[in-house]
Amino acid sequence: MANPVTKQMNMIEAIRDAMDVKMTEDSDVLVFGEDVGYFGGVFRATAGLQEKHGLHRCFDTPISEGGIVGIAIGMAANGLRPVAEIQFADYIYPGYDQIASEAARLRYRSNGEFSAPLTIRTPVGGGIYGGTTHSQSPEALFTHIAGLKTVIPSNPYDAKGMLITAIEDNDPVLFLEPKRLYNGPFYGDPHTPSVSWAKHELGEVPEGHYKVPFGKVRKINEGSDLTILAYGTMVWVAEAAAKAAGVNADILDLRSLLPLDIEAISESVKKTGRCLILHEATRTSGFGAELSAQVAEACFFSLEAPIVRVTGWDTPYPHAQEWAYFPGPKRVINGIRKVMGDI
Amino acid sequence: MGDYRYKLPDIGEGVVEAEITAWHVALGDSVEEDAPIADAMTDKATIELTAPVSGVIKMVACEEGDMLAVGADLVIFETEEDTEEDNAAETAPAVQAEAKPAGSSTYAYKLPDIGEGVVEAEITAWHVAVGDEVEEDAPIADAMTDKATIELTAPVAGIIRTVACEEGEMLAVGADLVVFDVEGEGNTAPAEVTPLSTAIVPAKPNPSSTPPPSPVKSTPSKPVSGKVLASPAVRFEAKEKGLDMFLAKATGKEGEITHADLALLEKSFAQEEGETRIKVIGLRRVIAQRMQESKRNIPHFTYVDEIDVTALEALRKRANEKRGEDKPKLTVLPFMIRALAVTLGDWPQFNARYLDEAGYVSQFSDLNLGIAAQTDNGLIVPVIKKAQALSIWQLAEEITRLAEGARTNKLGTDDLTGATTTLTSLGPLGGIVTTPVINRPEVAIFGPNKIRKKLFLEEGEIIERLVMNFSVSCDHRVIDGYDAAKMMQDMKRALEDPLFMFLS
Amino acid sequence: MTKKSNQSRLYVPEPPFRPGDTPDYSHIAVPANHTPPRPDPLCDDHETVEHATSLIRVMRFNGDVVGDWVPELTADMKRKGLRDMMLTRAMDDRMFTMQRQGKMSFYMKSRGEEAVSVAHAMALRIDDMTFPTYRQQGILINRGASIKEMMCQCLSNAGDRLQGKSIPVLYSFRDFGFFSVSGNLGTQMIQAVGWGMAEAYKDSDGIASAFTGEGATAEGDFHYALNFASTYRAPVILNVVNNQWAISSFQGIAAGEGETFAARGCGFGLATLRVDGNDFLAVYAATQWAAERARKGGGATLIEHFTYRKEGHSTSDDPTKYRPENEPEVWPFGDPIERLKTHLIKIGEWDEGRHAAQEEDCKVEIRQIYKEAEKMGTLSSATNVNDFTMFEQVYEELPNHLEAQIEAFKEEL
Repeated sequence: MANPVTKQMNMIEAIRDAMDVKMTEDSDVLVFGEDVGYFGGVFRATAGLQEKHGLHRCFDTPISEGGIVGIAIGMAANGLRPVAEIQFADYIYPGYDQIASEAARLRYRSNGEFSAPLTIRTPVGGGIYGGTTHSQSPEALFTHIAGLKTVIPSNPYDAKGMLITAIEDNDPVLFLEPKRLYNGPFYGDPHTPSVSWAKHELGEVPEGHYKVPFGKVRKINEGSDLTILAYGTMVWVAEAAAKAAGVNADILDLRSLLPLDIEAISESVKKTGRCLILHEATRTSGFGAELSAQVAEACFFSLEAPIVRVTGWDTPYPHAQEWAYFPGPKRVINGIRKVMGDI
Repeated sequence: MGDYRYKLPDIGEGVVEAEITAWHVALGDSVEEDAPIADAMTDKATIELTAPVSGVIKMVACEEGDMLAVGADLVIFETEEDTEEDNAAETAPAVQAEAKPAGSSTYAYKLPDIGEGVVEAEITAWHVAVGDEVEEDAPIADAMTDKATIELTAPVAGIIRTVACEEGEMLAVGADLVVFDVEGEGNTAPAEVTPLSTAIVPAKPNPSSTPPPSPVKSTPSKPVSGKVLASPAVRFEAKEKGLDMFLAKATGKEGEITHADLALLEKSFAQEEGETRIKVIGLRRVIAQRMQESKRNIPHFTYVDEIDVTALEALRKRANEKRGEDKPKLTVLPFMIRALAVTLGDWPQFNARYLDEAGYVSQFSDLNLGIAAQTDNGLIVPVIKKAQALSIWQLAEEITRLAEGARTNKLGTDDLTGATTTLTSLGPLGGIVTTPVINRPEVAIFGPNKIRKKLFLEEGEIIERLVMNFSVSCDHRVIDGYDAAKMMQDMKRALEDPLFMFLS
Repeated sequence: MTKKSNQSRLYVPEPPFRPGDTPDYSHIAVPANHTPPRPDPLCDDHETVEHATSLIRVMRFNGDVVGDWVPELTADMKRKGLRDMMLTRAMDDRMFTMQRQGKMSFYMKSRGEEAVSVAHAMALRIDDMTFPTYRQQGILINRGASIKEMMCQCLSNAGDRLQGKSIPVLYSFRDFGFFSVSGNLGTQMIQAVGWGMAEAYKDSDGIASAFTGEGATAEGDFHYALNFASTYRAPVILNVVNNQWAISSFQGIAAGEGETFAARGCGFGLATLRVDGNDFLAVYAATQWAAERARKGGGATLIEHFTYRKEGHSTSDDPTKYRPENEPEVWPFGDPIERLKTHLIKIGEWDEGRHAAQEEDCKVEIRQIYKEAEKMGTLSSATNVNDFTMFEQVYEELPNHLEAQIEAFKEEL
């Protein structure tokens, strides 16, 4: 296949482009959520879609996350491919029952007679002074649900390919968007000038249709000193911190939390013998706990040191103390030194 | 015709039993399918149970007001046809098993849990024997634990069928102490009980024969191995390479063994230039093991005295000069054996074995003397039996026979076992003092040293005498230093004035 | 209702009668001639405000039909409705008894509410998707789903189309317009709105019809449904089956002492109907009206079916613990089967003899079907479903981690 024509995009544009591609291809694809219609979404992810595809294809909903997910289930069961936006992941909880008890269970309880091939997009994570109600990373509440897939891209290329995969998936997919990465990779230090996707190779997004499969990690850096498991914003913090710590790390961007690419993870940890796990979410019962358990089970005899987690604290996401909460490079470097046995 | 068992159904959400509040049928009633059978009440609801089949009631489970477990037979129907659901065969009979006939049962009295974590007790005394008829509450045995000695009494009246062990043995809590034949209902199925004929009645050990096997401890106390700190990867490497991590020197921050420590350990095992490795196997391994066990278990002390053997050597010289053609040449060894036989007759505590695990010392009237002998394969210890009964000449012949047999590897088991004490001689090679290692479970080992000339001052005159240092190593657990010194003085007298050896 | 005073006190509603009381429902008006008029199905929603607080009835207790809601139904159709209701009841009775004999874990009867499901289904097209609760088995009976397959699902046996994944009564019959029943209450109201929106989006004239009990109207999902149905003029019927009891909680606990459940729709700008749920012809007429409104673009209708749950909530429930034992008999709206029978006899299309014979027929037929179903096993018998099917249909394709768990399960065996 010839090299596709690419276009430099940020993550919002890539996400929008994925929806645009699918809406153009498939009239069953509908996009809706709070403020997504005429206005185009508070993060602009749906800007222009209503104008291009029509009122019926991209529309506003009442402020009712349970209702948004509920109608998405009914539509999906009736043959459509709804893409619902929850404005912030912090607002998803009224829809949790519909996601956990209904969307994720429908195929099972009807033994395949009905299914709910819907996609729920929602921005996650901090870094924008969003405080307790605009910064949460609730992924672990969803990876615990059988019947649901939970994915989280870290760059424009993956965001577009994975969103197309999500829309075409015949099972419900929760598509988490690290909002701090919308405009550029974030290396964890808010006091350095922002970087945009304009010059990043993962900002080169192919035009048209392509898919990034679920259940496959992306290797951000190849190294042998230790393995760093990260996803979303923390992928870039990991890259910067490893560089600063002077270690040669295997950095795996998990991309898809469920299904999880345990094969690639264990291959890497068996190689390095050391595993550092990063996430922005609170620590206790976070997804890192699951990763740590799976790594210990799969790679026990290769481990040179205890598996270390670097995460947010077990507090709500504070406002003024945002950067004290955020697991920035300092905490990650400490984690690296710990897992390397230096401290 | 068939039987249909209607079991109390699982009537919802975790209910495990129900009260049968009313019966709508009685034994012998003929009922139609779906007719009411009984009312059952649970915490949640009172429900009516109806007949799943038509038939005649041949069993009802209980009285009104009784509780019945879910899954228990509620009623049994005799049905007209063999229904597909005929399920009578698959379960145990509903009727209670017949009571066992009286008089034929047994009652096992298990060693009770006599307090706070005690897992075993020593049975220090029996007050009953097999076949005794005992009353309830009569004393059975005394049991001693770390904490107390207590009297165990009969929980039932009956005849003692078996007893668990000998006095002095340890018994685990929960093990059968005694089994009674009792009137009426017992607490064991007959099959569980050891038949009388094979009950544990060990013969009393004969003091002169092989000691009884040490009693099996109910909880064998294995040496607890220490903990080694290491990451899983280091452990894996050690396992793969067959390295014993206990031998590695840990240099990790937390005291853990690192890969580098393993590498050092491996290097220390690496063959160096000019090094030859000989596998420790066979006899060598047995010797190694036994010596290690002896030194690990026995607190040795060695006592050495100097013995004037001028007279003994004169006597030996004369004997060799005067001996007939048929007699072997005498070395000093038969004389030392003779001296030992005479001395140990008065000191039986040195001619003994200490069975430390069993907790007793066996002393012996015969001197069965092990003679340590060097062979190409290593040390072996042939035994001169009843050495006290042999003449000097017989001893010399026996020594020759055993030495020859050892060299040619032709000794039988009988020649190599049964020692009650041991003599080891490096005398011909030189040396001043030996500190021999006791041949466990013996309690002493004797070691003569090289005879040499020495000048003495006696009544202002310098005289030349032949002297020899003589060592004895003893097990200090059962032999005191004072006795060793006294015994050695007797030994010294016997060797310095050898005539008396032959007068006793 | 307790008299209001000028002192605020915590008020906890209590039903008028408890076990030991003599229930007296004379205070509940049973309107005979005051049925509100039937407006045009495409009328403005305000024209149905009256209907939210009154009660649509067609049949009087003597079998006469009155008012302008009398549906055009042939005698054959009425007889089919009667038979469907009787079959539903016979099946419920049989399954309840079988649960008591340990053949299945659980069952739920719909006695007293058969008209709500049977007449409703009869007034819809078979391709109109219903989102029922666990008490609308009459829809399946009316639409001709296999009773044996329903029974096999309850028995979780080899004939269970759901392969043991769901508890009894939570059926799924897509081909009969019967959405997979959820055990989480109220959740399906909003899904039905989504289904209906999809029908409208596809320019189809199919509609959806969702059910909840009055108790679960307290769930947020109910309000989401009303909100979205109104916002998008979704072609749906939102049914509240007010059977007075949510397990042991009377309808007053769900804010039923104030305004009617149908009136909840008025604030959302929905068409609202309140109908005598024990009146087969009234349920049929109301449904027909709402279906026409939805199909022709008039949007959603909220229907409150005013009825009474004559039995316990489920096999795990004992209603005598919280309400008078004879309350079901004194409930002033009679029994839906008796009432339709009276009407058919009154118009000369039925008689007692035929009715008794049909009752026996239904019983025999159900028993026969049950015997056939049970041949395929019961929950506790050896012919139940393969354990490995539990790993199927979690996702469309088996993910790696479930494959690994299947291997682990094999080792467990």
